[in-house]
Amino acid sequence: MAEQEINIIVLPELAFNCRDTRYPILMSNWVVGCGPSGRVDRAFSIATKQVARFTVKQETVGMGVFPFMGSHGRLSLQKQKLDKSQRIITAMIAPPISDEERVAYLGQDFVALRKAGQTYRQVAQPRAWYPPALFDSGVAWVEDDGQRGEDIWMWKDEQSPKRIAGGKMPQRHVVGSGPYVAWVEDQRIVIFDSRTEEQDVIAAQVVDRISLTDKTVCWSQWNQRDIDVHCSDGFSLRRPGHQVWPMRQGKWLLFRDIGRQTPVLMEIP
Amino acid sequence: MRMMQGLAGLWLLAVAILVMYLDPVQSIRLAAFKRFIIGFLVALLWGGACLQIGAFAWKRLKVEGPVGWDQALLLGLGCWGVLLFLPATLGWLGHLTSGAVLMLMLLTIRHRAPIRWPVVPWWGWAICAIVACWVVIEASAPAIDTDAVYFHLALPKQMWLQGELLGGFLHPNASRPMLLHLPYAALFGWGGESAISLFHGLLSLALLLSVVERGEQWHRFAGLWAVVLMLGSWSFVLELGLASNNLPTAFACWLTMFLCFQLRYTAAAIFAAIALSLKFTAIGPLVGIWALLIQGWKHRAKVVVVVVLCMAIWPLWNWGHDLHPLFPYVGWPQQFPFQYLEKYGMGRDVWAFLLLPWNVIMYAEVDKLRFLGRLNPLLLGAIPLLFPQLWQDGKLRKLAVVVLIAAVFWALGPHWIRHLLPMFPLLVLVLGVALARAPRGLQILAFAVWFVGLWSNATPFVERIAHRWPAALGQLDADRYRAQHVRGWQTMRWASNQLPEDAVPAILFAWAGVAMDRPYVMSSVEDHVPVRHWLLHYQHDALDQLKKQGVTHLVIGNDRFLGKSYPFVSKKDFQALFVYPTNLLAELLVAEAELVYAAEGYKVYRLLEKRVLVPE
Repeated sequence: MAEQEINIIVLPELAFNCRDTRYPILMSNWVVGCGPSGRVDRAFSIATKQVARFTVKQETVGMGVFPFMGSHGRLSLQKQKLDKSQRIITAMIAPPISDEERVAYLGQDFVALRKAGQTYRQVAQPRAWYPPALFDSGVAWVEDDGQRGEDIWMWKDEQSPKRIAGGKMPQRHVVGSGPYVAWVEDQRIVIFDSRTEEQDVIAAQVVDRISLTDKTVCWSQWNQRDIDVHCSDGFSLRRPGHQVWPMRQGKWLLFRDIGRQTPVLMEIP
Repeated sequence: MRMMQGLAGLWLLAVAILVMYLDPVQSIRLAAFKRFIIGFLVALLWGGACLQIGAFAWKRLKVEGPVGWDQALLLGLGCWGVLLFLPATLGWLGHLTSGAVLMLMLLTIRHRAPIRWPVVPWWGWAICAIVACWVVIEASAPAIDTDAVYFHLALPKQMWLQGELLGGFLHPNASRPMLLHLPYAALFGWGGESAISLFHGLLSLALLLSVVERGEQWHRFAGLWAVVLMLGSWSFVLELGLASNNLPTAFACWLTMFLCFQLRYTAAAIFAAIALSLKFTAIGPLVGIWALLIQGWKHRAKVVVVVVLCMAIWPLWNWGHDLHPLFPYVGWPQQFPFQYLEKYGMGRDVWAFLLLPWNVIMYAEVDKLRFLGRLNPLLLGAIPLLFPQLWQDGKLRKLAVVVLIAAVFWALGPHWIRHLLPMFPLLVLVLGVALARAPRGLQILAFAVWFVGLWSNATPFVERIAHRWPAALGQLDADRYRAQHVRGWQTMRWASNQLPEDAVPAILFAWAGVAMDRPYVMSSVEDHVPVRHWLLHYQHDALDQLKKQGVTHLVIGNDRFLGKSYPFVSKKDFQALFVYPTNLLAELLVAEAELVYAAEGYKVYRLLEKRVLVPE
């Protein structure tokens, strides 16, 4: 087998403990992370290998494409400019999620989707802390099942919200990509096709979170000795120590080693 | 005529009610007013019950003459705590049993000793009335003080929710004597948190009144000077409206002292036992009182026996639960230090001890470990005025030595101004007498010193009342207010409200237990001793052992210790006792728990049953 050079970028400028443990994360071609204050205030550009410092800091800035910097508005990572007109004024119970055209966020008793300048709301009882997930034709989120447990609900365009996963076991860490939605359910990962409403199941006990790129999901899991990253397309990262909080976007995988603050970016061959 | 007066009275009442109701800016919110009224009435009811049973107990002690109103109140508090001990031990603490105790306390009205009501000059009442305004504001606003949110409110609430006396390694704070916290639990059950704070406020005002009354009996205007010294010291003023145990302990020591002067040693012994059962820090002034104010070794021995017998229930309770009798102060396996005295104050070498009176007045800061409080400089400035009096007045001389002994005990412990409060009334009385007897010119100068020192003591008062006032009136949402002032409040409330009904969280590296409306274990004391000990003791089984105790979730606060905050701990010990447990917890969390919520650096984890491993 021919040897392949693996492109690994270590990110010492982002080597700070974030108050929101989910950071740093990948947002388009950037790694968004924290400074010494533990608040999100900087981003590393994969293209230019430069670190851009934000003018404001937030404990959490959302997931997806754009960081949302509270009352200061939405930050364009490319232009490093804040757009106050895009700010989310409502009190949110979880980080928002955005793509190029939409942003979804959760309030105490609603789920909201903003697109083309319009905001649409539906009554809901979302669980706090878990961000919603955007897929092609709608948004999914973790909903309170009425007994302080977790179900997955989906709200597709032109339809009413409905439950797509429930039951005794908690369903959480919902993510979306393309037409797919994935979540963690007890000791498995479920990948749901929003077009056909069919589900694929992967047996896995996820350590922290999952990430979804098209239909490929990645997660951290214990082996006999340590925690490694596994992806459903067959890729797995096995190296000494525990690799946690994986996030994959396209060919880039972001993860951290427990005990070392420095996040690592790896290009998947 | 009478009808006109009646109508006028009704009109006045209607105006009072309607002005609150129709206020366009709603200065007082109905919910806050309701909370205050309920808390106040409950506090008043139980306070009245304390007076009755205290006077009844006084008669049983066969002490001649009427009982002082202040003596009846404190003795009644002690009786109340003892009466609740049995149902709490049996796990029967609730409305029924506490109600039965209340009835029992009130029924003693027929058989009690006559009560000698306060005889206080008009200005004493005026001062108390003004101070009462502050006490009401402070006690009505949601508590944010650390000692209240992890101990003085949190523990009674837990005892009430669980219906029993707690203790042991999962509730180490409850292994302290609970003579005050059992009544606090009953107050919580009947009137909520504000009943506890308002009851404490009533006790504090009673202490103030007692200092005026007894100080004036000692010497004219000694009571006035004593109260001036008290109210010129922020650390005392702050305590007035908090839910705490320092001022009740001070009250008990204060009354013990007077009983000894009256040669009523049996009663004094019981009050001393009450003081020690409220807070062990009372030992300082009590040793001084015992050594100087009790005449004859026969009486001294008798007092010790009575105190030990009265106090025995607390160490016996610990011993019966396989704990060291003085747990949690000692008795941690593996020689785990409970407290680092070096953390507080300005050093513990000989020079620092000698300069302690100077340093505690000149350099104390209210929000730093450098004494954690502020006192009026007249406490230092008035000392030379004492010396001429000591030669002439034997009684004052004895009291001055008692204060000195108490001060030495304080100096041996953590240099925290709050721990000085149990001896504070004795100190201000001694200085008050000296000031009252001083020449007028010196008194004017003394007042000027007091006034100059007032600014550094009044500044924290003004800063505090600025946010306590709207909180007390209900203008701020209680949860939102507490989230601004209590670290981890939002996460604690989420865990309380959003975890499954049967979930039992363990609070690790966090303080705000009072945020939980459900049973929990652990919480903190000193340098997060419970969780560090648990991790060091059980190592990799630590989370398993918690699961065996029924714990389902973990609420984890800031678990990072900074080495520079512990310069008195060797690097090796710091690694072993502080860094290692936090790293061990991080390792265990990855393997045995799942993060389900986080906010402001605080996290909630669900404990997993087991991990599934991927075969190699």
